[in-house]
Amino acid sequence: MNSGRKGLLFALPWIVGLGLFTLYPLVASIYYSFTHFSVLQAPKFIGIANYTEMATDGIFWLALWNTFVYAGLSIPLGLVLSLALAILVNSVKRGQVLYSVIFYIPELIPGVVAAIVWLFIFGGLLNGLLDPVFDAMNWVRRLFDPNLKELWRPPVWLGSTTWALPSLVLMGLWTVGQTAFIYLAKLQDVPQELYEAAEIDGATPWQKVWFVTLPMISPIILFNTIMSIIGAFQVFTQPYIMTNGGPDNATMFVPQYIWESAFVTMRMGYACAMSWILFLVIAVLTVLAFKISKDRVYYAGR
Amino acid sequence: MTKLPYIVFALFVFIFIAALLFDQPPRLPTTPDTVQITYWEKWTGFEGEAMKATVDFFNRKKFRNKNGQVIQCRYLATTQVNRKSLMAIAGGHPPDVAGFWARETHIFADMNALMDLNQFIDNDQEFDKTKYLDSFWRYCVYKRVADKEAKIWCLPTTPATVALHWNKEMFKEAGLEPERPPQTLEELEEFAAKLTRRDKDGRLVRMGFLPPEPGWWNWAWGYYFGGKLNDGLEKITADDPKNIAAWKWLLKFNGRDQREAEELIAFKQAFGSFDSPQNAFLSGKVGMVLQGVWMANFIRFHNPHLKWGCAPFPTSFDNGGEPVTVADMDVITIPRGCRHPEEAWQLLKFINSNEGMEYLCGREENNNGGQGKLTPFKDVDAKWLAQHRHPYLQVFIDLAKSKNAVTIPQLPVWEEYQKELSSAFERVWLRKATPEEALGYVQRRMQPKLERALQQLRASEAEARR
Repeated sequence: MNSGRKGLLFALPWIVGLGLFTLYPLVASIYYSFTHFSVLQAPKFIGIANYTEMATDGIFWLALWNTFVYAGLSIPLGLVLSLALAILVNSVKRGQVLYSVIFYIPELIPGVVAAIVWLFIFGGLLNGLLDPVFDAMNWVRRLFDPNLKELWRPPVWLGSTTWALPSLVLMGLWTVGQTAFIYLAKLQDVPQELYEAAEIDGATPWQKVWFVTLPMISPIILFNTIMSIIGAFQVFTQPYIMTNGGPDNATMFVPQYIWESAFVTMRMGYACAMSWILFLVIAVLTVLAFKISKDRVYYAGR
Repeated sequence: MTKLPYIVFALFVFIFIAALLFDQPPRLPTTPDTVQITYWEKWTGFEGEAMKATVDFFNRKKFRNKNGQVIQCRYLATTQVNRKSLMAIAGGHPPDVAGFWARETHIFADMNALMDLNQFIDNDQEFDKTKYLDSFWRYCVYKRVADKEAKIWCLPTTPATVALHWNKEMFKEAGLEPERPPQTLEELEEFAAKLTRRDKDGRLVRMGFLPPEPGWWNWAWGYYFGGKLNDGLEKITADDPKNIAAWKWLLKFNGRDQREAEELIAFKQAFGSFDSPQNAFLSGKVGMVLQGVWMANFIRFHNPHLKWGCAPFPTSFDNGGEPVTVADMDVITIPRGCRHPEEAWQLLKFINSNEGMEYLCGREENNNGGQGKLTPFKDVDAKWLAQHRHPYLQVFIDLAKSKNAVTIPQLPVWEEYQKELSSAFERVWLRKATPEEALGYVQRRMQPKLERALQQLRASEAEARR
């Protein structure tokens, strides 16, 4: 028996598992997306009706829009913040490990627990801190305008259609340590002599980051970007627990709508169709990220 | 050493084949003289304890099946019991008994997920279906879209009606008669205004009445104005002028302008969770709320010294002593494809006997008061009523007897309809739309959905016949 076959044999349990539990559902969901399927009755082929319905379903478009807004806010914010955090930690001389651990801790907390804790934070704890600040601002404003009527108040966060989505973005930054951790590993990989050379050329700290650090870690930036795109478009736990899509569908994201269609209104076919559209969106964005980054990412090995 | 891969491979194949061969439902230890049935139910906490005690009571009775085996039931508290049960039914391994909500039973019946109970009831001389209050029995009977005749799909576990709860101490403090609840909507407005309080900085500290607290029946307000959500099976009537009038009335409690409306959102945001002493009603943040019969339990647990009362919520029209309420219910069903339907029926029947139901709904012996609710029966034992912990149970029983008790519409799209109505209410409450606009939108969205759902149900049935 040659080693190739032997290897295959060892991998067989995994291959069968992949086939049964990943590949088959994947393929089946394509078929189901063309059917009316309530789980309990046999799927009934209805052609592209699910897809045409989606085209005119206001909530689907709203969910897609919300998902894009969420991604558009959370991806750049997360990337910049985690990178800044990593550079900061990297630049301190002592206690790097300690800081890394502190920033990584949120990642260890189960998503559901974090969501509930943040529910309390947005529900009153945060505004308990902000209220005195706003009171102070109002006090100052009253000095200039004694008849002041319109007092400034902190936002209602999850209860307001304007603030609910940004609140979730804000909460998403809580786990920025995970990404920062990956950056940090790569940052420590950047050869010291490049910085020394830059210094000799008279580079400012900012120039060192821009012309040395960023190009050297660009593959990791690309990796993190793609992971963030995928993560942002699949966001589910937090909105499901914290807002359930509300208020007034302000935090209705595509995964939440897929879940509702599949398990609340029992329209599995429609849910499958939406999943495939979501998949296509993520795939296109990922390919785009690769295309755009093609000449901008530096691979030392090439 | 070269044999190792083969051994591993053989082992794997063996496990795989064994898994396929022994793909049996997880069987409970059954001896020749007992048979075990499983029961999945939604409740946890004290309500779960009360239900479990009722099942234990059933087990102690040692009922026997046709073969003379003793029936023993295992109670499993299951979160999201409806979804998990449906998946189990689809997979062919359902529990023998499953507890659902009345509002979805007809949907599951249409999906062919449940056994009809006529096959048991029609052959059972002991079972009396005329003993039920009409407002609850309506949930048990449903004519499936594809069927010619209505059948019985579920039996009650615990029913509920909803009433206005008011805080007597607050009434007193505001100069109102503590024992006299508002009789009309106008009075309710007037009382609410008197109860509302702000601190010296103008911050809201208490609302007399806040419609979205708890907000579980936002879809139902129209009924208090004589409106309706559907006209039979075929027609959605979300934009019924009376529904619109109801929502317009609710806006009277929404502050005078956008800023005050937002203040109310912030005020509500800070409420603690329902099952806690920080509950808005229990902590004195709201003076009057619409709540169900279970509220007495939570008052007892979290604020036993609260002085409160309850009465029918007023209506816009003269209801002639027939007040409006939402009659809702938890039900038990026998899922299609279960292993022991006959034995499951024995459990359903026991819970629906006077003895079983009284035990579940409120006997002292059952964990100090059972679930603390009313029974679904027309006649209640006076002794049982006297020992019941709920101080105002009669209010809820009378509400259940009212001709204007509302049953949730048995529409195939009810879940979606309710969700649309909740969204619409939020939109109105946040002043993003007028009641006309929001309810008109629901109407336009739901009518085609209902038509499509009916069409699909009829088509699948026609296909099944062929």
